[in-house]
Amino acid sequence: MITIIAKILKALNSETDPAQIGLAVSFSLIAGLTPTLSLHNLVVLFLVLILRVNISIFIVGTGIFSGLSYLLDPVFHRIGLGLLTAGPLEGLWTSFYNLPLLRIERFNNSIVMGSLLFSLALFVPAFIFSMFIVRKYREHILDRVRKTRIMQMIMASRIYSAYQAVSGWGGNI
Amino acid sequence: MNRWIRWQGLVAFLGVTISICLIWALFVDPVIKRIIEKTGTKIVGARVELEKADLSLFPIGLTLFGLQVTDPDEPMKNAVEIGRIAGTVDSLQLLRRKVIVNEMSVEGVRLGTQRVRSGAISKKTEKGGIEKKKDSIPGLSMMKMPDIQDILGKENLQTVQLVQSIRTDIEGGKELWTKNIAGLPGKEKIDGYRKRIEVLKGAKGSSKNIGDIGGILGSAGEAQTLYKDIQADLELLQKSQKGLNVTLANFKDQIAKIEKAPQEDVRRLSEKYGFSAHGLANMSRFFIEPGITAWVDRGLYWKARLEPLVERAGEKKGNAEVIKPLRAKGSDVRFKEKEPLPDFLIRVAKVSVQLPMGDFSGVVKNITPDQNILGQPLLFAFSGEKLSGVRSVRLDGAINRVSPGSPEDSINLRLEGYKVQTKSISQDSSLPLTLEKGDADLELKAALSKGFIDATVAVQLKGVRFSAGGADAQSGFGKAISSALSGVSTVGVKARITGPTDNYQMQISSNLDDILKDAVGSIIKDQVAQFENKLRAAISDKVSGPLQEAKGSLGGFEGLGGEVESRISQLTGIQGGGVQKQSQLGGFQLPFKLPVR
Repeated sequence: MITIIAKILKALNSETDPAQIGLAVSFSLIAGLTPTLSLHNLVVLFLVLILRVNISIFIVGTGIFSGLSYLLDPVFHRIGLGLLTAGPLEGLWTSFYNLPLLRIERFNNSIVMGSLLFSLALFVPAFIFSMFIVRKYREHILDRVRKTRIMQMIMASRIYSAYQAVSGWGGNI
Repeated sequence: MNRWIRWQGLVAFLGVTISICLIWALFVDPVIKRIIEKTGTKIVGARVELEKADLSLFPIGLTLFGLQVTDPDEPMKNAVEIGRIAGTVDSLQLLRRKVIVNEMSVEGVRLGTQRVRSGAISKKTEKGGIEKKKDSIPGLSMMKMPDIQDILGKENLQTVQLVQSIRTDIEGGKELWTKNIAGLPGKEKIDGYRKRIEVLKGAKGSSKNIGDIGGILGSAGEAQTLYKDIQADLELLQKSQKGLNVTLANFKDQIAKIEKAPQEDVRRLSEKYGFSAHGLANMSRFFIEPGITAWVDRGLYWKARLEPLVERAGEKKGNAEVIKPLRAKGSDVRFKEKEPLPDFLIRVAKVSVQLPMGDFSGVVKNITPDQNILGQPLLFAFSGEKLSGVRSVRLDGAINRVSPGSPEDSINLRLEGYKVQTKSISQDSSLPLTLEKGDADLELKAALSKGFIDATVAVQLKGVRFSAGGADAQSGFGKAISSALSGVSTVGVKARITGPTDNYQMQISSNLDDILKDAVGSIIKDQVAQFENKLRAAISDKVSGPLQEAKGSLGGFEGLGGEVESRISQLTGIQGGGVQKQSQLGGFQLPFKLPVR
């Protein structure tokens, strides 16, 4: 746990590319908001591992968005049901329904459809917003944070020791 | 390229995927067990437990061991316990998210087994369901004559209420009429008329001169006015007299009705305390109906519980259908398929039921919640031959939801040579009756369509022997019943059950009806007559005093009537003797008296 917290701090404070952090937030949005046992989450996992995405941010983000998804399920149900029962899209859904791969994906479930479309719609905005926040943080807040009493205490703690150990790895994990 | 691609991630992905598969393989059995227990408990309303689930991958199949389904009405019993359920799943269809089991075997099915611990999940099931009122044998309660004074003390008698009501009405009426009569022309006014007559007579005497025409005409005019005044008062008094007489007649009529009212109280209380010959004509109903009702209610209960397994409530939206999945969140939308198949289907389940009388086996076909897609109803057929205590038994039927809007279910049961042994047919503690033995043939045909049941049950019992116990078996009614039943060797029962499932009606006929009626009919009639006579006498005693008082208070009305009559007489006398309608000629008397109206 301490190591993960240390990695988060490292991810935020190190030279890790803001785009890699932003991508991790965007992928965690999909993995967290949509039902965990879905086929698309296997694809997300593959992309997170194959691309240089910050895994620590992805894990923490997935946890946060999973919690949020319980609150948003009624919204996802409405969005999904609206789309799945929309007359003009019926032909498209019918052809999808007859494809085994998409049946396994359970696209015809209102919550799967609603949450997937919702998270895909927010994918790019979340990516851009996260990059913006990380840059601003490093430019304006990082130095002041380092000087705060809390940060001083943290730097004297075991977490910071772990952080130093991690930063010794030097990679962009 | 390498700035964005992490090739070692591929290895990590494979590692993670294999790990997930391994974890799934390790934990899938407990997960399936948990899902079955949770979903089953939700459907049944009592604990469903599974000993073990075993998922095999090559070929894909599932085997369940030790399934116990608690009876919600008796949490310490299992409604059904199944030793083993095994079936293989069509792998290709699984890729379409369709669980198709071509053949399943269900072995070691046992009914009503004891549980080690309670399977209740709520207070309702812990209590063992709603307690049903137990009726007593018709007529038996009549053998103990209740205390009549005790009944009269507890009950509100209609007769007493009527007497109280009429007394209040009479008092009110008297008060009203006393006020009315006080406002009518009385002594003062009558005396006034007399004075006016005297004055007129004086004026007439002083106008003897034939030339005093003005005086004569003036007297005539006054006489005419006086006559009209008296006539108006007379009419008012006569009208009041008429109204008073009507009121009096009404009260007398009501009192006459009250005198007959005890009969209505006697009838009501006789029925309430069970002293009625009604029901004797169909006494067998008491012995037979509870058993059939329990069967029907139990069947309907389980049908309602298992409904989600044979029908899914869907809502059509265009060509798509929105359905609520049994477990997953949200709603599933189904679209038109090239090769339509239900999401879940067990084509054939071979079931072996272990009953105390022996093994009973059969098949259940087309188990699916999507019969409308399959186009075939669920069918079941079971049979058993030469079982212990039963020569043969056949059970078949269908649960048809092919057209979800027109559900039709049917069940047929034929039982031959069923040896009945020590079957209690009356739980009444004072006269418990037991069917000691008998050979039964039973035929049941039931159909359930759109919430309406139509069923017939025919039972033929041969070589029967009844026994009666309890305190009442040796005397009067109980003795008559047990004696009548001891001579019975054959019993035939026919029952017809019709109507909505939540309020069905049952008609039962049996040769026991005549036997029992003949045996106890005269005893019951004597008891009813005794009870009614005692009750009638007691009610009459209770109301006779107040009723006499009410009659007495009518005398007050007669006094008022006399007063009005006296005033009418006086006015009629004045009008007839002293005042004649004056002609325009004055001084000339008319040759006749004016009629008194």
